[in-house]
Amino acid sequence: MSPVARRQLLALLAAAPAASFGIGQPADAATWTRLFHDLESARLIGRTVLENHPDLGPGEAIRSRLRQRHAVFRELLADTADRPASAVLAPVMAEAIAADFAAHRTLTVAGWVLSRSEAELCALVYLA
Amino acid sequence: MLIDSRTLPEATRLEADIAIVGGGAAGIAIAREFIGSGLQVALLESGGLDYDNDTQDLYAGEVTGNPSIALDASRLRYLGGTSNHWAGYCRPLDEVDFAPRPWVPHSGWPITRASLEPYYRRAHSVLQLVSDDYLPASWTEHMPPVFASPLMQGRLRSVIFQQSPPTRLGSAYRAELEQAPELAVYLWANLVEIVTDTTTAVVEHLAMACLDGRRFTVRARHVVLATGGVENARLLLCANRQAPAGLGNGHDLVGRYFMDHPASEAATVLLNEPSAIARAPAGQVVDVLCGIAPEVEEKEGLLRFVTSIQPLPPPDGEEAGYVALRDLTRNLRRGIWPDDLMSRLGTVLADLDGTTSGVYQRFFARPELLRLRVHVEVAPNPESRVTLIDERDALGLNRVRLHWQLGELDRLSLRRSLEVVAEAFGASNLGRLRLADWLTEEDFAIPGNGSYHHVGTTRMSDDPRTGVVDRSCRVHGMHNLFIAGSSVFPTEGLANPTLTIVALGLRLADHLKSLHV
Repeated sequence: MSPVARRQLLALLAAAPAASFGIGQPADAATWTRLFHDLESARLIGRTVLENHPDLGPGEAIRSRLRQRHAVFRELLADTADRPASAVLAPVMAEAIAADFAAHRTLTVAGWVLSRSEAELCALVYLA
Repeated sequence: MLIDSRTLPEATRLEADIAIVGGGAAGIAIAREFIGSGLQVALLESGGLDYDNDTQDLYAGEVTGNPSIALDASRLRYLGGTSNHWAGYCRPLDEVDFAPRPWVPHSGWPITRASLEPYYRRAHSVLQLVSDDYLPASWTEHMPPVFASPLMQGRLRSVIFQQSPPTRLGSAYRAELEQAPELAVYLWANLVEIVTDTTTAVVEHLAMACLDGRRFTVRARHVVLATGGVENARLLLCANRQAPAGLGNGHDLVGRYFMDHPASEAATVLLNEPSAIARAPAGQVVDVLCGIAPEVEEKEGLLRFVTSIQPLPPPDGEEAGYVALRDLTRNLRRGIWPDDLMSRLGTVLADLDGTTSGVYQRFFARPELLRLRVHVEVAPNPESRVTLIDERDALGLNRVRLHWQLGELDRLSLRRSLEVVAEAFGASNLGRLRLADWLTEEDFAIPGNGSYHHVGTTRMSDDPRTGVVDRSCRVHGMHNLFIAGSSVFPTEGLANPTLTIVALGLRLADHLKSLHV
């Protein structure tokens, strides 16, 4: 993995467990920008995720899995503008990601062991 | 008394009740047990009182496979043996190490941990350990905070190692060896042949030689080979004049099942935020590593595993990464999250490869980057083995080829164990783990030269079809030949072997005494 890609991955990891949500929904830009510090990092990581795990499938399949896995994603990825505020979402997202780790739902991306949800969210950022 | 064998008259015939070949940790521990016993012991040491190039060269041989082994540098051939350069890490094997584990082929000892308990206690004294308490709860005040945190109460465990000074047995017990009337320590004495009777079931005498060409013999009622995990097998295999396959090798087991503990830096952890995780204070009396909870090992079919968790070595000088980390840490301490946090973190990580230790500790009490150095068990593998090659050493003995290969279980277990650690950090929202590049290869090799723990080549079993020695450490099929050292371990566990080597030596000494009553 190039230093640039590693840098971007670290940027995502350091940003917040909330990562990105409301992907592709302009109305949510302010919210996810507040919670996800560096969108460009997420895009680069998402590209690496899909390169390392091409079996993840198209965006809709990823969205579907995320919705099924955690309730928080059902709200975040719904096709409505009525989404929770970032202050509420952050701890809920953190719980979801922690639950992924606890249940061995992980993906290794360029050596990083990521929760499946955060990896898939990055993939959605890239695909958006 | 100490005797320079080069001063013995040519063709001297020595006699003793017990002959111990090898003056290392096992040999010296056993010999000391006979002080005051009334039994005469000949301790036969290949080297002298200090390192000697020509003697050390007797260890040279070929190495193949993966990972590599430093065959000559990993051992020392003078009084005290390899204890002359050991690091002093001590821990008994755990109960689970002695039990058969269905997921580990060829696992299971014929003895229990409980049966070794009294010998472990005595071994602590031999190795000058101040405590035999391995309960993490007893040492929480002496641990880096990460090891006393809830992180270690779920699927991870703190694993305690006691620290020997480390005891150099040759110098620590030299006075005893010199003064005890029962002990005769022959320096510069090399075993060149184990000579048996025609049945090959009884050792009649040991043919000895010095590098200057002098020859002599030692006749004893009982003989103990205590020459280390490679040489014990070599000497049995070289005794092939009367037993073509070598002594104790009726089932082609001598030299097989070689194991060591692969050890290497294997992962980095990036913490989400400043943390209290830091090194233990200097002068600590115990070392703490991170292991996997036994129930997780069993459920997931893992081999034993430990890893250190330490701050990443610091950038050296004023590299970009160092500057970024310094500035970042200063700001974070003040509660300031810099606007360019991401790029600074990126700079730190992008600059890691050239880092060294030292400066970091002075500047950062709360490092945010950790490195993991693993130390892992490998599964017994009959294809990992010591064999003889045609090339001979200065005494005419065949040199060895050591072939050590990792198996699929070894790789899967290491990789999965690190994932368990990664999951624990992630589930606790402490940070994320990155595997070292070499671990991302499917058929990876483990960097490094092992841990200098040579184990398994004369494994213990009640059944001669599955082991070279019985539970008394007697070579199957032989009346008076015993093996001491880690070559008798059927599995290696996660502990460094010296404490168990000494404990088994003390146990063997008790057994030999019982045979002379």
